[in-house]
Amino acid sequence: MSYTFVPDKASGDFFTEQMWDAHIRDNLNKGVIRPIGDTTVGGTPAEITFSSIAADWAHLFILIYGRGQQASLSVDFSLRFNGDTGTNYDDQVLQGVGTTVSSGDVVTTASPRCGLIPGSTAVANAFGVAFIYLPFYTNSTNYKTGLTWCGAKWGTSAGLMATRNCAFFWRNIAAINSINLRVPAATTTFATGTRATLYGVAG
Amino acid sequence: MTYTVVPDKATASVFTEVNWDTHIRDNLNRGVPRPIIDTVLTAEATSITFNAIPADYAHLLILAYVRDTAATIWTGCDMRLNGDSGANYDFQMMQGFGSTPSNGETLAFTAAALGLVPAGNAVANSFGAVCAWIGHYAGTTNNKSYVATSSAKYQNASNGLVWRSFCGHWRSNAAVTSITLIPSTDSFAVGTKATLYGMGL
Repeated sequence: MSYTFVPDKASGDFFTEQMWDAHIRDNLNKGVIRPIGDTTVGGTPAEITFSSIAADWAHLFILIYGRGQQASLSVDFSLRFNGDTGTNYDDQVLQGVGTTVSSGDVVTTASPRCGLIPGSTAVANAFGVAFIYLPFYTNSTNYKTGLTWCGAKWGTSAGLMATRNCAFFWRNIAAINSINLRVPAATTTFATGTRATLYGVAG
Repeated sequence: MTYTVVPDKATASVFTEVNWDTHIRDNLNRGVPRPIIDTVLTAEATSITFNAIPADYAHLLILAYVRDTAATIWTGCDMRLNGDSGANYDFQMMQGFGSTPSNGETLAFTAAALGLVPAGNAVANSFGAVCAWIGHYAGTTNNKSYVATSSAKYQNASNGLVWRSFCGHWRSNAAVTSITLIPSTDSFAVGTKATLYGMGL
């Protein structure tokens, strides 16, 4: 639903149901950018899933402050749409670590890389940030794609930080109605303190 | 404060205090992304500070349109959190400059790099864009981190443009209550604009 421009009112005008529904309810619920899900991982490390995502917005944003539970310095995290665990995803990554720039792709995967965060052996209290953009997630005509822009630190000496840009692709024309954020290794998850917020972006 | 879905109203429904306080006031003030502070420079300035940032939001977004006055083609736009000028910031850079990508890191620096922006010797009227996300800024348990990207142009010819991005980290568990933008050299130019957004939760 698009934003409805709020009109002027003259002195003595009544406050009507239409004003409430169109200018307050619909604009706030579906006409601006607003949070539609916010999860902080509590005492038990966990995956993060946003389900029952309404088809109300033009695009989606996700902002993640995260750390992985996997016993490594840094870990890739991934996403899946609509519960699809098949090898129906592809990714392309460009990253800088220390003084080295690199890029690479993975095709036909079930765990497309959409970000990098510190792992459990990273320096204590280090968390990474990732901003994910999912355009036109409701369309049911074409494949879905998205972009991530993220960074992680796992130590305080040279060569232990990364900045990474990711492009990821889902070979499916279905509208996206759920997003599962996960650390691909089978037994690992996001660490306690990880927070993810999903925003609906009105068109 | 979390966003509260605004309910339907029927004809002749009474507009209540709850409607105002919960559905309008709280949603607009804290439930949706909104600008917290906006600054446009009408005089050169050595810093731009966003003070007294409330802990009401999930994350913070900084959008800035920046030029520096230094007698060079471009320079850095940096940030300090809570006024901390100690060597407590680490950041990783990646950039594209003409046909050359490059990369680098800085450890234990006294400010957090956000971007590269045009300076006094750049082509006239050229300003850079800076965008930075600070995750979970109000947390008090873990170090703070951010991602940022920027643009700079100093000439209308090849090898005059830079796209530069950063990830960075502040070695502090404190909640972020103030952000100071500082140029790496000299001052921010007149016309520089910076806006801080609270990203509602």
